[in-house]
Amino acid sequence: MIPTTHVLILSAALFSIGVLGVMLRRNVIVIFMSIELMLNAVNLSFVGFAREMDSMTGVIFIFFIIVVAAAEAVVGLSIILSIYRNRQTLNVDEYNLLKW
Amino acid sequence: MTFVTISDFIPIVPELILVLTALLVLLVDLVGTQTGYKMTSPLLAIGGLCVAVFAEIQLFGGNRVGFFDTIVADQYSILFEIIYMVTGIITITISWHYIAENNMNFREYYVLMLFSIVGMMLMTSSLDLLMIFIGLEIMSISSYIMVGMMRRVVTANEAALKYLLLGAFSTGFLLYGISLIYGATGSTQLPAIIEHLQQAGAFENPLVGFGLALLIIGVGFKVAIVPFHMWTPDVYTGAPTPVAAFMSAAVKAAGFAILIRIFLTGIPHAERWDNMMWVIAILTMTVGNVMALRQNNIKRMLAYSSIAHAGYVMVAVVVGSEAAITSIIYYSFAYALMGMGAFGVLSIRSNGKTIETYEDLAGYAHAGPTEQVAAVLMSTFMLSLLGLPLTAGFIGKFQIFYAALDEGWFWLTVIAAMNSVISLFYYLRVIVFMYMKERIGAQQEKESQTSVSSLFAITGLLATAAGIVYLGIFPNDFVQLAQLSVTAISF
Repeated sequence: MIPTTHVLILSAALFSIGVLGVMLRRNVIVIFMSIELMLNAVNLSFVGFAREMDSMTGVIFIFFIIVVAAAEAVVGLSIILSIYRNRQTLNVDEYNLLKW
Repeated sequence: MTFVTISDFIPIVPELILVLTALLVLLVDLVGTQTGYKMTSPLLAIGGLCVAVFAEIQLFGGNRVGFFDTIVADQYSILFEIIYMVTGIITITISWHYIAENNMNFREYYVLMLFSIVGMMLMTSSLDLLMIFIGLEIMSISSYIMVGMMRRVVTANEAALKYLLLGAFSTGFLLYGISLIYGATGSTQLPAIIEHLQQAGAFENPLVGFGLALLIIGVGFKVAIVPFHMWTPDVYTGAPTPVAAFMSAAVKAAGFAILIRIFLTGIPHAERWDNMMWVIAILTMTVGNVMALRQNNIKRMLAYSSIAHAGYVMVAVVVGSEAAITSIIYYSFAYALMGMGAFGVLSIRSNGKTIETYEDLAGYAHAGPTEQVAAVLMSTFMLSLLGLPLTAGFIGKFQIFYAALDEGWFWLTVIAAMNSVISLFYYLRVIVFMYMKERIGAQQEKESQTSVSSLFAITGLLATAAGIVYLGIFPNDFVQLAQLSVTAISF
């Protein structure tokens, strides 16, 4: 059986990749995917802990995270769609009407 | 195995009432005529909110629990829920003319707002991190849509996108924090977590420290404390004005409600926690006030000032005593009223023109009968935000400073008081421009934009101003309620 520490290290690594992706990438869709990666890294750590402690709470939590992530994706993609219609670009650096 | 019974639903009766009202508003929209200016939906929503407030008052003092101890209706949650609903009612009064003028007259607006309030209520009355997370997301996702509702306006799109990306980003941190806490304590129920953390040596587990820090980041984004405040000015400027008002009042109050519930009800505080929160409080106040000074756009100024006010509340969070938590509740309510009022006045057009910068405000007080009333109201809100005696803002600040001095936080209080002095400049600037400057180039755009009667908004704002003055002159009733609710949450 894979030790829980390995699961947690993998989840921390995925989470960090997600955070870096949000900070470094400039395409809105990629940023959004990075956020999804962060949420799924959290799911992974929940699975690891739930298996370690043999408790159901963590597993149930994952279902809710998946549902919320789906709802967020619906709203997020429609907002991205409406801004793309108005600006014809997906580069976040060009969304600069509101500053300071 | 026990199942959910009917008595489990009693603590969430107000939430159920609001959900039903929201569905009813949708239905009425479906069968009713589509012409723009009907008042059915807003009045229906206000009616639902009033019934829900009444239900809350019936529940007060009952301390009912439901759903296997995950939902409680104690005095603490009831008081906060009433605050959300009152802000909801005021938001509706200032929204009706605004959404008609700006071609965003979708009835979903009221529905989303009601759902957002339901989310806040669920997260405030919950004792389980899972429920808190779900409530937080119901609130956030509804408000993402509300911010982006003017979908043909580019600045609104941009604000919605920034809010969405940063909100979802912070959700990631919050969830990771919850997962680490779950790993360290084996539970997502707050009482069990607190009990576990109160044992000696619980903090030697590195997961606990990391988890709590990530939770602070997640909640910090929602209440906009420095350094997690970057989205606030952009979003408040780009969002429809009533939505900005709603977010600065209700969403922030909800954030502070769960901040208290998670961190100030028994988790032992290490020296490091005090030091970190101390720095955050000072940074939040100072950055908010100094940046507000340099703004020319009034909505942006109000956004930074809302950051500064979150800083004052953070002072009370640092102090963390019972008196401090009482002052947080009082201040949340007081700020909800004055912040909403200020944004509400900005939502009213003058001569068909939206007020954006200080120059637009020049001569505002002499522009017409509506403007005269609005200028008096705006001055009341500004003086209250400033913290002048006889207003709610004064009592709120006084309570926070008093609680801080009582616990020996002398320098923190001094810095907070100095910050209040800085805020004098930009709040008074609004009044000076309204009363003492001549209007330049008036009447030009008079014909270009439609203007809907703002009588409904003025009525709501008058009630808000009356509330501020009442809370400022007779604060005792509300303070006693707040004290009662503080004793309801365990220490």
